[in-house]
Parts: sequence; C-alpha cells; structure tokens
Amino acid sequence: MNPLRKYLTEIVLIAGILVVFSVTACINDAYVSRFSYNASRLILQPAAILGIFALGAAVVIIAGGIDLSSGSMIAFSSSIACLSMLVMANWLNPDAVNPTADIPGWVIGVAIAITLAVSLLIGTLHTWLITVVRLPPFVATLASLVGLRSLAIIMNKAVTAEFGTQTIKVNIQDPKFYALGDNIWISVTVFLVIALVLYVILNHTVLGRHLYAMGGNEEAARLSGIRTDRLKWFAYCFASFTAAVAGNLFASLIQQSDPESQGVAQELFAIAAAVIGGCSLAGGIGRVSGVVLGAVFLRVVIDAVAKLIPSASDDFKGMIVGLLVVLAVAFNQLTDSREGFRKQFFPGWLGGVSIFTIGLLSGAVLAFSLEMSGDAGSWKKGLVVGLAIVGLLTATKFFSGWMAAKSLASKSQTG
Amino acid sequence: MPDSNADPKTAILKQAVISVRAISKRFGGVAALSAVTLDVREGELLSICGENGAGKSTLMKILCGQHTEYDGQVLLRGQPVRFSGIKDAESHGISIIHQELNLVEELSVAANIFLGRELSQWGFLKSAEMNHRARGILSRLDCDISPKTIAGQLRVGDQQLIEIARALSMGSDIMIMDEPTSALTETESARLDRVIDQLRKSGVTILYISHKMDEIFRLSDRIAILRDGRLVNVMDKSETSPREVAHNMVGREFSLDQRTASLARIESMPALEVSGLWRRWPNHPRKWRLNDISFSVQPGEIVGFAGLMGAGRTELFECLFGVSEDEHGGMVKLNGRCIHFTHPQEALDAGIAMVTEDRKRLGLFGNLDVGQNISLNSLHKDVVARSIVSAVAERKRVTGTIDQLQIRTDGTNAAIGSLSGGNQQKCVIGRSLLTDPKVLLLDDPTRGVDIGAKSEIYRLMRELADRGIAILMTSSELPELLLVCDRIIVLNEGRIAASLDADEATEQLIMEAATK
Repeated sequence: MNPLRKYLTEIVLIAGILVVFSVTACINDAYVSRFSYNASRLILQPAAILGIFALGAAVVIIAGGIDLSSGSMIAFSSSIACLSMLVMANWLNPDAVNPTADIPGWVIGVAIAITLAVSLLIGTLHTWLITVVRLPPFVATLASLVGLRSLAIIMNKAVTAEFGTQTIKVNIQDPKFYALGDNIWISVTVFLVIALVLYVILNHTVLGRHLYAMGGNEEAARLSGIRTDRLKWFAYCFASFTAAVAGNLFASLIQQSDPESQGVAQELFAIAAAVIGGCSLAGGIGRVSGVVLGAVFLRVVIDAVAKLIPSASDDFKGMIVGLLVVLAVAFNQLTDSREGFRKQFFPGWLGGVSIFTIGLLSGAVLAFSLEMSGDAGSWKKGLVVGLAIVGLLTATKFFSGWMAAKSLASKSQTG
Repeated sequence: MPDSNADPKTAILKQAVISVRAISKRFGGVAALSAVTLDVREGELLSICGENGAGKSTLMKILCGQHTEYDGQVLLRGQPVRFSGIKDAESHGISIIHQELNLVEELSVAANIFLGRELSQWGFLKSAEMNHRARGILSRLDCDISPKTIAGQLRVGDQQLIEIARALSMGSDIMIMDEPTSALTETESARLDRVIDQLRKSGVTILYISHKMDEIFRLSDRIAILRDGRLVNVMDKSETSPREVAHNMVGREFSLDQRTASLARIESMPALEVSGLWRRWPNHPRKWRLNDISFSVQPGEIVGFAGLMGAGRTELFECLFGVSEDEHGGMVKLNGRCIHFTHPQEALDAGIAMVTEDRKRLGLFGNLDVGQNISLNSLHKDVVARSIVSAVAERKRVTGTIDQLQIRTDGTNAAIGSLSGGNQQKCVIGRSLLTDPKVLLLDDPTRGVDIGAKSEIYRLMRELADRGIAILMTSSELPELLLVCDRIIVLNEGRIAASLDADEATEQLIMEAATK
C-alpha cells in the first residue's frame, strides 16, 4: 500500500496537533508568554502519562479484546505504592512524627516493584477469567473496574487506621518520591521507552505478529498453532503493567493515593486515545505511532479547551473526548470505504432528526459556554449558531439527495 | 449504444427475461467485467462458468442489486432497470442464493423466511400466519422442516433450502444460485436437483454458477462462459462437451483423466498409524463422533477420506491435529512414536500440519497481507538476535513459497482479500508447508477453487507426496478423490466403512459404503 495512505491517520493527527496548537496560541497568549511551561507541563507530561496506559489499552484492542480496568488499576496501584511506603516507613522509623516525610530511596524502589508485581497478578487474573472461566473481556475487566477502586478505598482506610487516624487518602511527603512525577522528563522517558519496546515487539517479533493475527481472526490463529492464551496473558498483563506505571506517576505527582478521584474515567481516555490513533475495536489493526500521536492530540485539544474556557475546562473534557472519538472513528470508516465522503450523511427522517439534534447540541454548547465565561447575549448567539447549523446541514441534505438522484438517473440513461 | 430494436436478434430479445447490455465494472484499476452482453431466456437454467476472478460473481452482484455502480445497461423484460439495492432487485423478482448462507442462526425458520418483511398488525407479529405460509412454501419444495425449528440447528443443506424458500416467498421468478452445492453432501445435492426441477416447473428462471461440470451438464439448458471479465461463449448444452467448456474457461485443453497417483511405493515404516481412535459426541444420541478408527499412511502416500457430511472426516482431522474439544482416545503413532496433542502447536512441532476446511473463517487473516499470512507459522525460523524477526529472511522465505506454489499476487504486501480463492488457498497451504510437515492434513483443499487452480493444487499435492510427505485429504467431490488419492477410506457415521485402493475404487463403491 502506498505509505501516504497507510500512515494517513498519523499524518492527519500531526496536522491536527499543529493546527489546534497554533490556533490556541493565536487566541490565548499563554503559549507565547510561557511556552516551555505550557508545552511541557500542560501538554507533554499529561500526554506522556496518558500515552503510557493508552499503549496498554491499544495492545489489548489489537489483540481483539478490551480492558476497562485501567482507571481503577491506576487508583489501585497508587494505593498499593503509597501503602507499601507508609508501612515500610513506619516500620523503619516508628517514633517519627511524620515517617513519610523522608524515606530511603530503596523503600520507594521496593514499593514500586511491589506495585508492578501486583499489576502482573491482576493481568494474570484477567487472563484466567477470560481464557479459562471464559468470561467476555468486557465483563472480566468491568468487574475490576468496579472492584479495584473499592478495594483501594478499603485498603487505605484499614491500613491508615493502624497508624493513627483512618483516612481514605494516604499522603507520602517524601520529596524524592515527588520528584519522580514532578520531573517531566522521567514521565516522557518512561513513555518513549515503553513505546519503543512495544513498537519493536509489535513489528519485529513473532509475538507481535501473532497478536495481530489473533486480533484479526482468533479461531484461525488457534488452528494455526498459535498459543492464543499466552498472547492474551501478555496483552492483559501489559495493560495492567502500564496502568500501574501510570498509577505510580499519578501518585507521585499529587504526593498521595486518592482512590476516590484518581484515574476516574481514565480507561475511557486510554481507549479513546487508541481509537483516535487508528486502532480498530474489532481487533487486529493499530500502530504504536498512531496511539502515541492519538494521546498527544487528545491532550493538546483538552489543553486548548482549558485555555479557551479557563473557568470550567474540566467540565468540557468529556464532551471534547466524546466528539473526538466520534470524528476519529467516522474518519477512519470513511477513508476505508469506497464510497468515502461522497455518501449521503443525512438520509431520510434519521438524517432530519440528527440535523436537528446536532444544531440543538452545538447551539446549547455555545450558549452555555458563553454564559459560563460571563458573555452577554449568550442565548441569542447560541440560537443563531444553532439555527445556522440546522440550515446549513439541511441544505447539504437536499443537495446530496438531489445529486444522488441525478447521478442515478444519468447512469440509467447511458448504455 | 445502438438502438436495441435494430439488433438482428430481435426475436431472441423478445423472449429474454434479462438482457445484459455491454456491462463493464472496474474495481480500482482492475476491470472485473468488460462489455459483457448476454440474454437470459424466460424459464431457462443458464449456467455461468469461469475460473475464479473471471467475473461471474461480479455479474451476478450487479443483477441482484448488490453492485449499483457500473457502466452499461440491464433490461428486465425489455425495460431498462437500474437497481438501487438488493431490496429493489427483490421487488423486481430477482433473488440470489448466496454461496455463504445469510441466515440469522438464532431465529426460527419462519422468522428467517420473512426476515425484513414480517407479517404484522399494529406492530405485533402474526407468527401463526407466518408459520402457516412458511410451511406451505417448504412443502412446495418437498421439504419437511418445521417452520419453528431454529435455523442454526439445521444442516447446511436444509439452511440452503430456507434461503430458496425465502426467495419463493418474495415471489421471485428469477433466482441466482452462486455455487449452491459447494457445501452440500451428495444426497443433499440430489435433493437440490429435485428442488430446481420443481422451481423450473413453476416457471422460475435460474442463473446457476458452479465449478462442478457434472452438475452443469445435468441441470442447464445453456452454458455461458466468462474468462477475464469477458463473455467467451454461450452454448446449448446439447451442442457442447465438458471438455470444450473447460477449454473455454481456461483457454487451454484440460484433461481430468490424467491420473496422478503413483502406485508403486516402497513399503516402509508408516508415517502415521492410527488404531482404535475414538471421539465422544456429548449430548448427541449417537454418542460417538468417531469410533474404532484404525488405518495407517505411508510416507509419500495420498489417502482420501470420503463420507457424507457428519460422517466424521473433519472430526478425524481435528483429533489428529490436537484441536478436538471432546474427550477422545486411542493410539496415534507418528513415525513409530506415540503422540497425543492438546494444542495445534504441539502437532506442528511434531510435524503434522492442517489446512482447514473453511478458508475464510478458519484460515485467513484479513488484517494481514499476503506475506504475513504465509509466514505466520514459521516466523520463528527467521529470528535473528534474540526474538527479533529478520524482515529480509522472512521476505525471502515468503517469495520462495510464492514462486514454488505459483501464487498469483501483486507482491508480498498485497491485501489477502485481493487474491482469488485458489490463490488464497495456496497461501494457506504454503503456510503449512513452511512448517516442514511430515504429515499434511488437507480438509477439502479445493473448495471454492476454480478448475485451473484445482489442477495446480493436485500437481502440488503429488509433488509433496513424492518428497515423502504423507497426505490425508477430504473432498466434497468424489471424482477429485478418485483422481488424486492412492487409497480412499470411506467413513460412515464415525466408523470406517471401507478402505479402497485407487485402482479398485469407483464412485459407486464409495457411495454404497458411505450410505450403507
């Protein structure tokens, strides 16, 4: 296949990143005045951490499965890491007022090692549920999504009660641990190393080829003598492992384990990054380069929204991600199908109602966001934009319908 | 395009139910059909022959409304038509019976027959009425399936009758049958013959695609031959011979009576020895899928397994290849050593390879390219430096296979879906060969493969056998087994009913043993 077409997703994502970044820079002067802070702290680092477990999600998706547990796995692993440090610090230094204020480096190392080991156990458990108990991957990892976060809360409460007051959050004040997440280049390096290792595995090893084969046609893969159970073990362990790595970085960044809010909905962001990066949820299709760019693109857009609507950027995050996923998947579908962009997008009553809904949604979004930033006349503007969009799409609907009828008529004339 | 009334063949045109006028269709740069002009007469059975990739399916897909973009014109009873989709074609009385069956396996027979056109009142299904009508249609087809049966529980042959019943229920008077017997047993094919007779008595026009020459000559009135997207010839059955049709299809003389078997063979240690093999059949009155199977295969021998559907051919291969999920036992010796596999990889390591029956579902990886499909099982041989696969070594191995098997492909990076059925099958066989098997299991290797590629596969099998590989094969066509095999073992309800040497075997003997 011609490389331009093969890497179309990547090319579009790079263009998208540049466009969104430049447009934001023009509207908001934060990028210009504090470029390095914005670029590294607000885009690069979150993108790196998201990218780490998005790669995990992508491997599972390529292998033909789905892992919904990464958000809870992040909360669970930061809880394990912080509790391990808390226990070891108290054991080394039982009389100190605040034992976690200064803990030896090896304790941090051991705590991280424990976390990563536990993540492999969870990955193995997922594989067992899927291959032996034969649960669908969706159900097996849904159980962890719900269960692990709850377990983390219970663990935190139980262990903190042992060392004083019972709390849900576990604080680790040691500056060395904080530096781990605070230093941008550690996150970025870890991300790039994992991406590179995964790239080599997927493209240049037997394991990688077999993962694609299993994702493409699992039954045929098994009949070709591929050990599908072992491949699934790799995929789910890799996903849990990357989530645990991200969990350690998250914990270090806020110097605590907070299972009630840490990593909430992150599994969906990971899957979104993978899908935006060109992975097919049907399995067998996806590239590391796409997922890396997908994660960066997602963060650039989220940050752009934060710059443009500073008062309530978090509130808009879900909406933006939802929109991007729809657009990305639609784009992939359209470039793959022969019909392409020539198809009728709003046929029949389904199209008519969708035009109304899209107009309503975009008008409402505009009105509400203007209202939140204290703009006068927000409702009027929302209404105008909504109506304009409905009008425009309705015109498209009738135009494309007319074109289709015309081309059909002209074809039955010929010959 | 000149006015069709000026055509000297106006007399024929008047009785033509479908007239295809200079139809061309391109897929990207490839011309699938170029200027095909063809008349189908009212009430006739017209067979469409041609190698895979000759354009048969494309033409049929245009006629049944599946392809809507094409050049040229279709006349239905003299009126120009251009279908907007399958539903539109169906409303004009044209239905297609697909090679791959399109039933919803979870729904009942009646629900499938009326799928998309359910009889209802105020949104509530009129099930009793649908069952009643379905029963009526099925009895017209001499078929005693209950309309309430779940479609997935039926055998393939019965499922196909449901598709035909569905077409009848829509009032179709033109039916396109795309290789309808490719998955049927001999008895089911015989029943389909009777159904086709019934249909023709009620005036249905049938377009029939098949690779099987005996069927074509038994059923058709006329035979149309396509080659490379062009109409080569249309002949009355009475004026031609299978030899001439085959010649027209491939553009060269092709003889089916070149027996390839070389019977002189040195007796040595059997490559494969099976004794007392059994396999359970849970929750089935017969209890055994296979019972007391004993045979042995010499290196260099090609042994064919004949039998009706459900006789245990595929089930036997599954046991030997380690993919049987039922409890099974008995003794299997490979080169004198006892073996028992729990996973296909163990079988491959020991030197048994299998080419599965259902190529599309169980053999091919649509997301991988041609080269990756071929090298999948032998990648470990190209590993350099730890676990990194050398792309150069892989490519060399793959191109070697492509040359050896004469796979026609646009390079190793071509999409596997762009290859014809025969070439896809060669890729799957090539994948098995790269594991250096001592025993090769071929489950219906020429299913859905055109006649030219068939002969290449036969030649290849003989070459492999001459290299000392023991080959076990099944086939849905008896003449093929008689042509290729040194010995034919007939299975009947999971037991060996007969073992015949090539020179004594006849279709008659095999069918007697298979049905006794």
